[in-house]
Amino acid sequence: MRHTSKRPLLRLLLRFLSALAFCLPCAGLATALSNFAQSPPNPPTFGRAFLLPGQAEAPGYRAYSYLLLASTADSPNPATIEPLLSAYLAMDEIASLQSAGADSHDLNIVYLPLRQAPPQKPTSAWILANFDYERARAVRAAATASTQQLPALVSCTVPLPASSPIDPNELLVRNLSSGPDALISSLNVQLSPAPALKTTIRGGSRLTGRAYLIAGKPEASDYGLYSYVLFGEPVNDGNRALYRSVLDAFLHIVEVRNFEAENQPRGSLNITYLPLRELPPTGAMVDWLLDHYDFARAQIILARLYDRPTGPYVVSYQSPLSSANSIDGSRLLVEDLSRIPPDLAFLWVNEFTAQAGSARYWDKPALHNLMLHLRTQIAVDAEAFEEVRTAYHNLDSAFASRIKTQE
Amino acid sequence: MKTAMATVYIVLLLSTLIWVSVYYVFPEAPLKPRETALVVFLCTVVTAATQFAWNRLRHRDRKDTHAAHK
Repeated sequence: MRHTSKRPLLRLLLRFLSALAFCLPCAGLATALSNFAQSPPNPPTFGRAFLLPGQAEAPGYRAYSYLLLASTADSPNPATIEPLLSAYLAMDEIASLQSAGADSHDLNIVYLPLRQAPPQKPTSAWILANFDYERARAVRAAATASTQQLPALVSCTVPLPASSPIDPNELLVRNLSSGPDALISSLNVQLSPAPALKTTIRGGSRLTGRAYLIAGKPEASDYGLYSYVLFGEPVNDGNRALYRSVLDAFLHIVEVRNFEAENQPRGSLNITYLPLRELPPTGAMVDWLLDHYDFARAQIILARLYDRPTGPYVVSYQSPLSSANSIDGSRLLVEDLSRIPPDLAFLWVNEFTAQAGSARYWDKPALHNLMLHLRTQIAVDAEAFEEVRTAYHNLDSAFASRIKTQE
Repeated sequence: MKTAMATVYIVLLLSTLIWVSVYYVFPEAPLKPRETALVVFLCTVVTAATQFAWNRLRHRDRKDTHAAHK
């Protein structure tokens, strides 16, 4: 180090190089991390309402939640129940949210079953004295939550007890014995499955099948999940290889009709659509699909999600995106394939099928997601590194030939 | 010599760790030779830079201690 102390310029250069050496590798990691750390989705809105005997739940809500305090009149523990009821009463009434302009399709209505109509300002003690234990037991039984300790919050996409079997993907049973914080957090993550049901859900995970979305025709109904392979920009030299790779990976997905032929219920299927201008002939290959891709429909769907979409994207949602009145961002799974090397397209499509198959399809496992971004970033950097190396080699050759010419 | 050997060991350890982690999570897409070379290069740069910075700091500390004793 003695020589550096005598030469300030060299010392400065070494400092600059060491800073550069830190910055360059960290840039790749920072990019991977920034991709990984996406902004959290907006919490869904929810409001309270009392459920009286003989009263049916109002239709058209995005989710129905039931606050179950206890199963019998002897069992409630006032120390646990009272803070819960205070938190419940502090929520906005569903009617006031709707009068403020909220769409019922975006709201989660949180019911509290009561034996009689409440006074103008009900107290916690009044509510506890008039709680409808019978209805609470019926809801609890419908949610197959008999083992779950009360108080609990049961959320579902349909009113309970439901006439048809409930899709476990659309049910949440959350124990609230820890206090009112659990109530609010449960409402923010509603429609996620109860921990006790996880094994069952994983055992019957959603299957992904492909289908074509022909111009002018709507999506088929009753599927568990709707996914779309969307290209935001028309084909050009820059994106052709990537589009081809994505379509190639798409063709490796089993056709959805094959699952239906095996009597798989539609509710357990993730239908993955490729928008096309016309029905493809039997054995249509990647080039045909690319030539007949329906960019207009893709852009119409993407316009509802992004300002300036490029893509390709693989987007999943719980209802058909073409006809959805409003889209809940927290229930949207988006795989952005716009910055991945064509070689890794199959990896991202595989990840999409695995993710769409899970009960909480919108919730990517953090570590796995980080590894996927790291893998992609290494591939991108290696490609860029090769480009730089080639450019440097060309520059070197150009200098050499120029020097030769001058000699 | 000692520092050089330590650098080699750390680089090997880091790059092996990254390679194996990627292979463990995505066995269908292990790192290609070109990508492996990039990982080794980046690990070398990071390790060398860290050692350089560490040595500089230690050298400065020693100088300060020496000056304080005087």
